[in-house]
Amino acid sequence: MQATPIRSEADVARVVQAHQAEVWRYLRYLGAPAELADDLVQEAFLRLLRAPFEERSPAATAAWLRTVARNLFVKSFRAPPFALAGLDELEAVWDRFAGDDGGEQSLARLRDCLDRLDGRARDAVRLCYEERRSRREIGERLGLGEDGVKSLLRRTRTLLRACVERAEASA
Amino acid sequence: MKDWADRWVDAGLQELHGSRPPDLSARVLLALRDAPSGALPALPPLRRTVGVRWALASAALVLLGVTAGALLSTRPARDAEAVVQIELALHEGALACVEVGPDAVRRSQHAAGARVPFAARAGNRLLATAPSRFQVGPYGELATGPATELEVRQMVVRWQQGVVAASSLTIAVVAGVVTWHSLERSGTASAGEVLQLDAAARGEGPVANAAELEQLRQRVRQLEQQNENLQLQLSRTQAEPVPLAAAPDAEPDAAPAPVAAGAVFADERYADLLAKLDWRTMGEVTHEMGPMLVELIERMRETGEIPLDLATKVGALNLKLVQQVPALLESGLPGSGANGAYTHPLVAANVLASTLAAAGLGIDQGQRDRIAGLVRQFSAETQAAVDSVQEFDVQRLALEAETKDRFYREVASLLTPEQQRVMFPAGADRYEGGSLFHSSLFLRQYTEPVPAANAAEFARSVANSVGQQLDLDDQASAQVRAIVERFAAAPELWQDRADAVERGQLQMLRRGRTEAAMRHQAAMLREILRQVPLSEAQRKQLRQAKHVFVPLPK
Repeated sequence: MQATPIRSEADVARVVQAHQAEVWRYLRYLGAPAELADDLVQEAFLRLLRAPFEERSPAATAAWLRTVARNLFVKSFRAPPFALAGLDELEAVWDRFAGDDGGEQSLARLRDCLDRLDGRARDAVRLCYEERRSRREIGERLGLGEDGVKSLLRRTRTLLRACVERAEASA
Repeated sequence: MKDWADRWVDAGLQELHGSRPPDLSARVLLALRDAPSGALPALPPLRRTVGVRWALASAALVLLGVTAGALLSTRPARDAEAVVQIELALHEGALACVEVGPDAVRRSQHAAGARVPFAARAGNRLLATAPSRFQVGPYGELATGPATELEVRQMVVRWQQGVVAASSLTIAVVAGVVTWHSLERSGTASAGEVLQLDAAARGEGPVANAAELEQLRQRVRQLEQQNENLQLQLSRTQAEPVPLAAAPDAEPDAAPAPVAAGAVFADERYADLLAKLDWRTMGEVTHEMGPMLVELIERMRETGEIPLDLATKVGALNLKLVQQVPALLESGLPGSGANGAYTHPLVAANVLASTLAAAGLGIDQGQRDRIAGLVRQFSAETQAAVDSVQEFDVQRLALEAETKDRFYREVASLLTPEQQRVMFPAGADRYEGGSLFHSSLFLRQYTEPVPAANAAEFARSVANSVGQQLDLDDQASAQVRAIVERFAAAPELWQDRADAVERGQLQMLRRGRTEAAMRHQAAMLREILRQVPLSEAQRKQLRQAKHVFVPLPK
């Protein structure tokens, strides 16, 4: 593939808009808080664009950005040096869910699966992710202990993951 | 092992519930325009005011030593995290502080010229919306680019020999870029990087942090040289020595002076300082604190532990003294290091007068006049000691210490036995740091106790330290070691095995150890200069070394 030099602000905007969601999601997936993810995405792009940069392929650019973002995230830990264990597994899971579109399709499938969720699992997801309640508060609402809430949420995410994987397989 | 698939679903659910990836293209473009490759925020050259701030912070830290020891005694480690309120002085730009409290997040916005307290707690943030430049307490000056976000990662206080020897502030650059300039180093960090700012840096052991220690020493030497030059200029502008006498409002009769809110002993050169200090408080605190220090040491000697209750009380009193320190240091009173000004005869005499007054044993007019004479004489001697040309800086330290201790003794000889007991509570003379009227108050900053079973073990530690500081090769290090061992063999250095107080966390050495070590160290340094082939820079470094290695017999 022919390399495309980045020359104008329009080029910069295009590159950023093409990859920012995936890099941001990747950082969130690694565990970065949203605000930190914002900052690290910005820094990753700055490092990309300040260097002599030619766009060889979207996948190569995305991989480069993810690597830089991951390193920035690791460096931001409170007790560096800190290595992310199981890098291969981490990347394999990410590649599977991110696909070729930075995770848009997987996210849409997750939304569909979520819509099909009901009962206490749906309530737990709503209370945790929408209302940002603590485990103790969720437990009070649902009549569970904190450990029970933790287990319920984890089981629910496992159900959702299985649902997304089934949808992928049938696509 | 992490369940990364679960993490993906978790992140996905968060995104579906509002945590959406933002459009950062404008922000990236702006950052690229504002700070293109290679352009970093710049700081003006270091100004002398930083020296004053540095000295101020150091002094505060030194006087805080006992408090820190008490706090740390509850922890097994030698270092401790602490939430410390530091002052931010915003010189340029705009800064937002985000401080996370137990119940709420407090956000405050500040413009250039503002001086704001900021809790250096992990997680608290500073946001510079525009290119900004600000002083971070005693840690140095920072210059940021636009849209720069800093987060406090850690605040660590390190202490040694009973004083807080250093504190460090670790800050993560979350976004943007920052250039910092502290006394010992400067640099630039960008998003994802972490910078550590030190308020002071003493080696944590004979062989640790030698390079950093040396950098700091060089910086301190530069500042001290500046200070000496300024002192010299100042003294040259004084055509006639300013007579120092008892304050003009002195009563003519011999009745005890009332409790002094102002200074009893005056010196026109330091009139501003004398007016600024709260002598009554200093006297009350010193009166209360003296016996407490003795009790603290006694209990440490019995148990080997720092009594937390007592140390907390001492620390609370000490804080009141620390409040006086900024004015002391800004006054330019001659003296070495942080507590050099605090132990200056003019200050010591006024503290003593107010201490005795607080005890109900105020000095009478006769004592007042005679002590005023001593203050005049020893102020001149102290100035001479600090300005004196010596082969080694450690000799200048020894001279200053000897001058001040002679002053204390001469003053004590003018007091009644009851007053002497207030000045030197029974037992206060046994350990360095046990008395507020002794040179060890300033000397402790420079002492490095080296636990060792014998001269050979001591020599190994010291030679390692010196070797690293001077960057010596193996052969030169071996020569240094042999010289140190020979000089360290002096029996007076190994007379008593270290007791629980000396081995304890505060490392308060028995009175006399440092003095003896200084005597031998000067001779030892001279021999090193004579025998070991050194470059001119190394020789200079050795001459200017102020570290006193004190054998602590195991």
